[in-house]
Amino acid sequence: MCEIEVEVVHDVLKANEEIALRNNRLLNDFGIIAFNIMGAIGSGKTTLIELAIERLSEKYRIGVIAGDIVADIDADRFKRYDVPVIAMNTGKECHLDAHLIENSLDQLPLDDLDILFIENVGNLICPTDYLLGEFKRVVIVSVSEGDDIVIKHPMIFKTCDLAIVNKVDISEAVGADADKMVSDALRMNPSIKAIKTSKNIGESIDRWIEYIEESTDVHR
Amino acid sequence: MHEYSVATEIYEVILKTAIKNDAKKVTSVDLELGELTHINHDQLIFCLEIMVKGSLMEDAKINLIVKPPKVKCKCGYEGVLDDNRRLLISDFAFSMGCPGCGNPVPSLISGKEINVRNIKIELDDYV
Repeated sequence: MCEIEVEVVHDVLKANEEIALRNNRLLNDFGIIAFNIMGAIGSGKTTLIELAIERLSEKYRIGVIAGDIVADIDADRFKRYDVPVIAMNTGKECHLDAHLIENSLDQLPLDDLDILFIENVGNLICPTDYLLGEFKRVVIVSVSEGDDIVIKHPMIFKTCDLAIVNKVDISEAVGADADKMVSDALRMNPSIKAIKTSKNIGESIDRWIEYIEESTDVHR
Repeated sequence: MHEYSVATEIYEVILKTAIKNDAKKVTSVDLELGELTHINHDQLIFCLEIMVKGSLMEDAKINLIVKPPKVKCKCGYEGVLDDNRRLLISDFAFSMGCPGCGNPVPSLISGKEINVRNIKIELDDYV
């Protein structure tokens, strides 16, 4: 019997990153900008994507990948807008990974898209580690999660381009300081952009829409 | 949260390498885990231990190599975050500033690994 050492060097997250890079190149070839929309359960991810589709579907061709444990429920909401939607059921998984996105991209009409929204599984932890091939990473938190939610999840804010503090119209009712959440996000990541939104305050949604427009126009 | 699926990938990679090299059994595994991944190290090892039962790597010793966060900064500093900063790990977004110049966002060059570095295997002796 003899014993030998074999070099393996397989990094689980790097392996994901390689597929993510492939997705990113593919999307870039088609001139598509992809937004990875992350946030806790009930933070408002689906609603903010719906509002973006409502406001922008005449200007841009939009597609959506809805990821969830049972993704069909959100996917049905998006289908009402008559945009291409892929329901990516993760089953038991707590996050989307680059491989799942690669499969979804196969099923989307890439020739007919300018913007792809990828709604991640409701979770502020696991999606942080998994790049998907996106160009912009967006994290949404709502005031009802408590105004210490940002400092409790520093890593996701460190890795995102945009932080949205949502449902600010109910801040008082839930005893949360939305401005503190914004300043916490900026302390975590001085290069992040942070905005406050509520679906009931039209002007606040304008900031979200402007962000998408600016990012898309720069990408082109 | 996703320790089980990460463990599955690690297990498959090890098994594939072992079979490719005609191993009779896997005796040890060097596994690098970065301190900044959202992986609970104990849970990951627990999942692996359950998974390997009845396989070539049932008796393998798993050597866990914890990789501290290492940064590289514009100011020229390259190295591990110092202990005072690392002690604040629950608050690490504040504590990840460059130890050299205080720049709050130096590039992270290590600390996010989930890497199977190498394995030791037993082979049949050639007669």
